[in-house]
Amino acid sequence: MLAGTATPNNFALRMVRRRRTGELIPGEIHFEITNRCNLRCFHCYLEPYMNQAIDELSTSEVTGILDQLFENGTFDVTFSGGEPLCRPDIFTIMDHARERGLFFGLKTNGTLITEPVADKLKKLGITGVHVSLYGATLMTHERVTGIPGSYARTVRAVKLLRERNIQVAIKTSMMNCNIGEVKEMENIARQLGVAFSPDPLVFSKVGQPGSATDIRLDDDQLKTLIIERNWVPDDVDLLVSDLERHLICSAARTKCAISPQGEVFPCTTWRLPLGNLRSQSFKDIWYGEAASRIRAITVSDLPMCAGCELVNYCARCPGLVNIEKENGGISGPSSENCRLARAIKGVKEDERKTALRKPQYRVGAN
Amino acid sequence: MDSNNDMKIKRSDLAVWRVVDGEVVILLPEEAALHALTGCGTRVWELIEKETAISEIVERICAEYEVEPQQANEDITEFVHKLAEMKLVDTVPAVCVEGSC
Repeated sequence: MLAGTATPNNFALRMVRRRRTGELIPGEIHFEITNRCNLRCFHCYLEPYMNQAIDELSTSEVTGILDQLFENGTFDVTFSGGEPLCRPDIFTIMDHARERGLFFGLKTNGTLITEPVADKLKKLGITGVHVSLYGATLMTHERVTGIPGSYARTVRAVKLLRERNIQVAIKTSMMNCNIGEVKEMENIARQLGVAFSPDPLVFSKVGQPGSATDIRLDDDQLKTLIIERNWVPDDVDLLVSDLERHLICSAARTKCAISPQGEVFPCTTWRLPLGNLRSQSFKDIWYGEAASRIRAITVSDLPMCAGCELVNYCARCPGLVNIEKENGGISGPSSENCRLARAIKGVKEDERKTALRKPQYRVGAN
Repeated sequence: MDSNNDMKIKRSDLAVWRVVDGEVVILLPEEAALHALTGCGTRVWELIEKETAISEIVERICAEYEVEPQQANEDITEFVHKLAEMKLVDTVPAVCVEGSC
């Protein structure tokens, strides 16, 4: 056979196979390449760093890191910020990633995506773009972003990307100011032919625990969202669920985050320093003591969560625990995760009660 | 897919690809599917950047590799069919020139 569609030797596929066998390869990297941003979103958890271009990794430092990531088995890099398109060298960086063999995506507010930018992203072979939209109306979206004109530019970006067959998902932080527009936002996404992904978890600003409390959904709003989005696990899910799936996430196991200054964290929200790429190699950090300590955590190290009645409804986020500085570390529960799990369980119990009241039919009953 | 060798094919606009270790790795983001091309598959992928007839691909491969035309024709046709099944290429029906169809 002259040509085929499978190979035992290809580097990227070898890494995929290694990951599938459970080896802890840093397959997906979230690379915050700048703190600069052209919007002023009031809920941004990185707001304390906003526009601090000081000491940002240079172009050559970023490309050098991308080389190291590839050599360590990374398959996919998501460029974010800040607003990643604020970096004038973003296309040089993407071009290097492509040449190296890395797949990459972008998390953006979309406002800087014009026709030439969309063309360039297509040409560079971007795998997908997450665009942040915070409301179905100009008023709501721009109340969040603080910048007039941002709504139209963000919606335009989605259109431009879709016109070029680039995969797009609209990402939304659900807050008490925009929950009333969730259905309209979903309609907008449908009309634009893109996925819609509302997120009920709003993180406090780094270094300011509790700062998100006033903007988060209240319990009733949370329940409404859970019902509308059908986030309730079915009975089979609940039967087969295992503790590890609910309590141990992929942070520092198969993915991690890199800051604009080269710090490596388990995740964008779990900003526990694992090392700095300016003074250490990625390999030394990934297989280093701090990352190994995280990978050593098992369900037995989380006794409160493991024994909780809500655990089958929970997706515990250590970043949330850390950012809210709860329980003084990484072993305890996050009150916000508990609240979400409680709401999901409440909806599930309501569903069961309703089902019991419906007429029941049994095959073979006399 | 038609087995007509005058059929033209080109890379799917939905496919994102990279060259890794001299081989082409293709991702279909909407399906989260990953494929790798081996042998002269990489060269075929290069050739179909624009609409190209299967017969033209066979001709080029025969010129570049030591392979009998009959064998090349069978292999390339089968390979292209696989690519089409996996939605990695779009097919463009051959246009009938007067008297040729």
